[in-house]
Amino acid sequence: MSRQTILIGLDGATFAVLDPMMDSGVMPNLCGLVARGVRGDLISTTPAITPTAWTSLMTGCTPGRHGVMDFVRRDGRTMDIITSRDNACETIWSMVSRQGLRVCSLNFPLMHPPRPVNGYSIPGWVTSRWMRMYSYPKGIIKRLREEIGHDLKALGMSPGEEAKAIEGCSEEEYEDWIKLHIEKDRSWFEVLRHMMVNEPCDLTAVVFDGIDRLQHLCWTFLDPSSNVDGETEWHGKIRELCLQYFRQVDEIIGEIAKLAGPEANLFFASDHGFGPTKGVFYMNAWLNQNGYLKWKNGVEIDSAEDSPKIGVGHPFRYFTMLDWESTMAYVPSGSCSGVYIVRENIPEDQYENFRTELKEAILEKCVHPETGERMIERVSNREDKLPGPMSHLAPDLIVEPVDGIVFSVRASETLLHPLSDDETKGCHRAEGLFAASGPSIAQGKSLEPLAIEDVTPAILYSLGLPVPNDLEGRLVEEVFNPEMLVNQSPVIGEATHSPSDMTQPSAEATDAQGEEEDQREIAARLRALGYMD
Amino acid sequence: MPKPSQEQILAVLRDLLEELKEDWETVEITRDTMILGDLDFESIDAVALGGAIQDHYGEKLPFAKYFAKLSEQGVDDISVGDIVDFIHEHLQDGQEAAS
Repeated sequence: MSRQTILIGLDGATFAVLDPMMDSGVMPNLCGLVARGVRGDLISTTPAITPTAWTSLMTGCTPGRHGVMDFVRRDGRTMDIITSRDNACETIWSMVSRQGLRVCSLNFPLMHPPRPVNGYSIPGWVTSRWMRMYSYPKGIIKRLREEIGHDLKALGMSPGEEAKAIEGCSEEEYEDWIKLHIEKDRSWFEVLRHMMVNEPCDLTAVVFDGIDRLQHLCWTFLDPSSNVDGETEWHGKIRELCLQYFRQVDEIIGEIAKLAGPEANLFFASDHGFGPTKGVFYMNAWLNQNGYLKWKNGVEIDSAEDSPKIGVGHPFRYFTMLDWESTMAYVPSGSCSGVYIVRENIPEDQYENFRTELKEAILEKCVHPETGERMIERVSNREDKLPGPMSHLAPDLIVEPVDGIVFSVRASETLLHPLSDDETKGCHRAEGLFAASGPSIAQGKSLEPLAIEDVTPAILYSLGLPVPNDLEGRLVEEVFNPEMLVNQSPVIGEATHSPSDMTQPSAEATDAQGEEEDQREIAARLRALGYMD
Repeated sequence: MPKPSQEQILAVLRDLLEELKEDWETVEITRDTMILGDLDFESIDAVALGGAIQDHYGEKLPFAKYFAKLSEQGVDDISVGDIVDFIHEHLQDGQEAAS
């Protein structure tokens, strides 16, 4: 039986922050829903970043299968911004659509350019002008503007404001910056409410991304172990604004639950968790100091006195800083948990020895300059850590820093910039959250940690659909109540389709003509991506 | 199909940019229109524009290298005409629009 299903994505949410919010009465709606349902940690991908993790959540597959490894994709000696073209797996929106159910997907990353769905798709992580171009069906944003009655510009990404979450801003900017996120979430909710009332779908899904941004910039004000209220008037004011943000998220959750009604199943998921940033490690500077990377002449070098910077906002700049003829290994972005080897500069028969040597050097020599503590928890070969057909897109070495250390790609005279208490920001952790509530859901149960790719099978089962036999995520039966499992035995269905399949509901989707067209489209796509001549 | 002329490419680009303009933006799009300065694009909008152009022509064009080179040269804005010239230089003969 198909049951209306709502997925509320809370980017970066963690019970470490939300439990105190629920306990103190800031989030009573979420508290009630979680208490009546199930909850557990949701373990993110490696790397635990937005595009990679949400893609796993949307496809039921790990990065080695879907191929989304970072915000950027290497393109020879430069890079490009990733888009939906980079996801090699079918999304849940497509799986649901082609089985005749309607979907509405709002603010998920990597949904542009859009693929047709049986319903609506408005992408996240794009500026407002591209959102209009890349929403499905075309014209939906114009229609929503007319029907809701304002320009909805707040829905779009503002790169400059996003960068402040990572790189920081002046105290004077905090207030407006938090209010911007309050407005953005409110705008997405207005769209969601309009769609739920006027275009109800079997699966409605939305991401609210302000939680991630606030936890980056305002971690000090949200960290359950810190008490900033009494420090200064400014601290108290910013803490209160942060709480106002979370109160609004909870009000939105309450309104969504009311709109959905008692017969709907509600799922909550985040793409990763959060914790305090303890220091910035300049990985490319380390590679430079150890002879693996050479900067071009004249590159600007950060001094030890500068505020730490990760290196976001100028996607091409950091590639142009490298002397590509002499560089053997580099980190392409602060969000990328890994080191790429420049294969042109390493003889093929020496690659494995070089990679092994580099792996050992990173593990043993990336240390705190004063205490000698290791900065790196683990280094793995990509095929071991991220196995799958798209593994070759991952960094040659997956480098996982110790808790609280983030990488910078900038040139720097110092390798480590520890953060003092008043500089502390937040950074990602693997432990995100999962919760569910509704008539099909078990009650009052704490779950063992789930993998992020387990969300897709749970949503499909809630909708009464079979779980494709090639998903890496598993159906976690403990999420559901025992009667549901008896009355609706889980069904394993046919494999997922190519993401290039048109997703109009059709029983004849795989006839010979369709397959031929699929092959042509796949070939065209691979050519466009440079994989085929 | 012969390679499109610069005028044909300009017409395609103009249509695309017109579609990207917000209702309240009235700037006229010519070869001299600056992408960031006149159209108020963010740099990431310009990168996305490269993707949309590739979708239109169904061909991979070296936009990433182009933007990297501009960044290296310290160029902080480009005109519509610059993009037209770049597309014309790199489109292969026999290219037919994919959309």
